[in-house]
Amino acid sequence: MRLLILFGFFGAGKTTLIIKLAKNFVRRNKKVAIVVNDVGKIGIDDKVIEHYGLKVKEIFGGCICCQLGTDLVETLDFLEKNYNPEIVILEPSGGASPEALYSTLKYVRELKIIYFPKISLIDATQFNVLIEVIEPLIKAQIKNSDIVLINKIDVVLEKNVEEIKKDIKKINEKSSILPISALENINMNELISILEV
Amino acid sequence: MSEHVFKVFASKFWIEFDSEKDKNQISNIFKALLEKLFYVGSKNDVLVGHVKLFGKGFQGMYVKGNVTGKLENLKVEIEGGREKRIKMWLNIISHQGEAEKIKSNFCNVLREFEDEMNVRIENLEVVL
Repeated sequence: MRLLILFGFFGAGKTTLIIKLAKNFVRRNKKVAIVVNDVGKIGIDDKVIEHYGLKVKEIFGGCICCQLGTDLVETLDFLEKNYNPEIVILEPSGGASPEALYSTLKYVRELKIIYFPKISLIDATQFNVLIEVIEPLIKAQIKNSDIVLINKIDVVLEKNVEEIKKDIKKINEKSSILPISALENINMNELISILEV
Repeated sequence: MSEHVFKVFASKFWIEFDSEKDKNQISNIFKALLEKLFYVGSKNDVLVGHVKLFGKGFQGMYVKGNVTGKLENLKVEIEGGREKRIKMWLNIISHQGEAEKIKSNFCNVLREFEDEMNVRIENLEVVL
């Protein structure tokens, strides 16, 4: 089982990107499952994803990086035993801490998980506000990423994207940065080839 | 940091229109609802978090909408033709708001929304 984890703050476009990626993987005859974590006690992302005919399991009513960590371990175990997907795409809640989530995943000992590069999604339209208001979370998501995707570049100026790139490099100089628009399919082929599916 | 610093509010209900509405009319109704809910969760016109909704019509309509950051980011996407009754699920996640305040403002917003858009809200369930 290959596990792709996509961090990103609420509204960054994680669900849209996951639907695009999953549909692409399915077109390549990959067996895909999606696990979404809604902090609300009423799930929404599962309904959106199911609408596109994709296999989804939802963990809701808390965060998988902390109080629902056990549920995540159980869900991955259930998926492998009952569905045996080649690829699992995991959408943590927008407030999830990468460090805490990766610590939780250490407990998934019985499953053979191969990790994709660690990815976080940045909303280009909101980056400056978020880095001020919730700096520790945004920095943690960037620091713990191999690839940082700057999403929604179709609605911001190119110079703003360049400024965001510089800020990301200051936080994590080793990360690769790819500006995309999941909604408008900008640089999605580049992303797929980086993921080497 | 975890989601504990965010206020999470979830709700589900049915919306019934006074008559069957087309895609554009329904899009405008949901834009109005999202705009009102944006102000419930935002501070100084900025929402650190999001309002997200999903709706399924009894004749197969699909509605997806969200707003995050600034009001100009509000989006509604609809598939389908006409509907009179839609089942809704929605989440408000806010860094700034207080849960109880969001809850009470939410009910006020729904009342305003019913009056202004000539719709009826039924079977409301709210979860904090």
